[in-house]
Amino acid sequence: MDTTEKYINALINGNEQIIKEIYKKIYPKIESFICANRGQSHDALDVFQDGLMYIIVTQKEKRRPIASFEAYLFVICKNIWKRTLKNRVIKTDVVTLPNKETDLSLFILEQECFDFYIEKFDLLSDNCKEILSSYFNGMSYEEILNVYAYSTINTVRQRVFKCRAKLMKLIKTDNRYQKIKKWKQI
Amino acid sequence: METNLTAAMLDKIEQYIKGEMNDADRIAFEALLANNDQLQEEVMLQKQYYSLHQKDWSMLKDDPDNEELQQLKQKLRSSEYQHLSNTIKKAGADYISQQNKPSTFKKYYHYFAYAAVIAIIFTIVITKQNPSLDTYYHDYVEWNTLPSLIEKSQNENNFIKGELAFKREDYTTAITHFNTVTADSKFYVFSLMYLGASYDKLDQNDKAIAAFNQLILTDSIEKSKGYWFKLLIHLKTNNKEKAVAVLHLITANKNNYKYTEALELLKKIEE
Repeated sequence: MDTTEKYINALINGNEQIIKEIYKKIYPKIESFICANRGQSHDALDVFQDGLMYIIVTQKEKRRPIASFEAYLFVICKNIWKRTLKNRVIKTDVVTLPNKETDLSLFILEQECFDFYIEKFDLLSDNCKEILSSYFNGMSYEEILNVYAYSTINTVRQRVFKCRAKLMKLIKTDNRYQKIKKWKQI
Repeated sequence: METNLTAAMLDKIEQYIKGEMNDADRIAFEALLANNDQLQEEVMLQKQYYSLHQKDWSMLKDDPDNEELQQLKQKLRSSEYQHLSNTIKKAGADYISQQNKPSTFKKYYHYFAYAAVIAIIFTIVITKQNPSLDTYYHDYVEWNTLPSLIEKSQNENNFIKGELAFKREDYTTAITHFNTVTADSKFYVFSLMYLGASYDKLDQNDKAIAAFNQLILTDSIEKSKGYWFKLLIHLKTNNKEKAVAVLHLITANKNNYKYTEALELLKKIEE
């Protein structure tokens, strides 16, 4: 049994000894990431524990393949932290402070959306991916024209439009989208 | 209502999301949006991909009608998951307490920690006592790093005369020279930067802002610097509302000049 498998099983079955091993091996890395990004040790502990809970919820009923436990947990913790920071900025209403379960549940669905949209984007051709990445990053048609050496602005505009149409078709023909699109965004 | 998405409509969606529509167009677009599910979906997806690419996290609403969300909450509150959560916390508490077992180094380390805390408290007290935005102006203003074109130019034109006067700190003369550089000159964009900087030095803030607005209106790749320079003037004059508005413009596109600094500053100011 490899480490990834061992760690996931330990989390699902609540094996305290091995969970401690996970802390020992991975927690210091998460802690230094969070402390370097406007957080403190107690934030890191919350994020790490939410990250472990995320793995339990998403793996308990149906196992999904994970290549490397450590890399996966790191990405999840990074996203949880990104969300926490954004939440701090937009949250002004202290009265309706949601509890931990709500925050984690919201994060799980947000991560599902994120994975879904990335998965669909990755199905595009390399050329479409490049152009749309520039476009969604805020590059103007003129800047795209210069970078990718297209002949006219109109050619760029049509290319962006076609690639985007392909992407939307990929999204809308997937059944999962019918569920995701009902989730209201902030 | 069904609408076939056209390239023109896509342009409108983009303008709408980036806040580039004038009031009349925005109101018309929002009216169209209100009755058109398909268009709403397109806008939502467009926003989603902007967030994804600009490394922003898209957040969902705590919506009582979201079935999946309610199921997840219930699951996390169930005794089975609460038990697992407690196990994780207990393992974490044990791990932390083992890490904190005192060693000789750690004993002394505490003194450093106390010293650091005291230093932080002093910093906070000092910062709190002086919440004025112009401290940020002094932190960021660096007109001496404006590009110098003296060596690149063979003959002495009005721009060079202006730059030389600027370097001599003779800002009134500098302004006279920069004002004569016309929009068709290759020096125009740089003369606007120096012009604004000269007005700033003379504390003629409105004129400085006007010069930077001119810079923003050019087609130059330098134009996003106009936002940053304009921001500096708003900081100097303690105009929080305008400073925040400009910061939002800068942080809307990560290719903009001083994007990262703007992001940090926005957080600091809005805290």
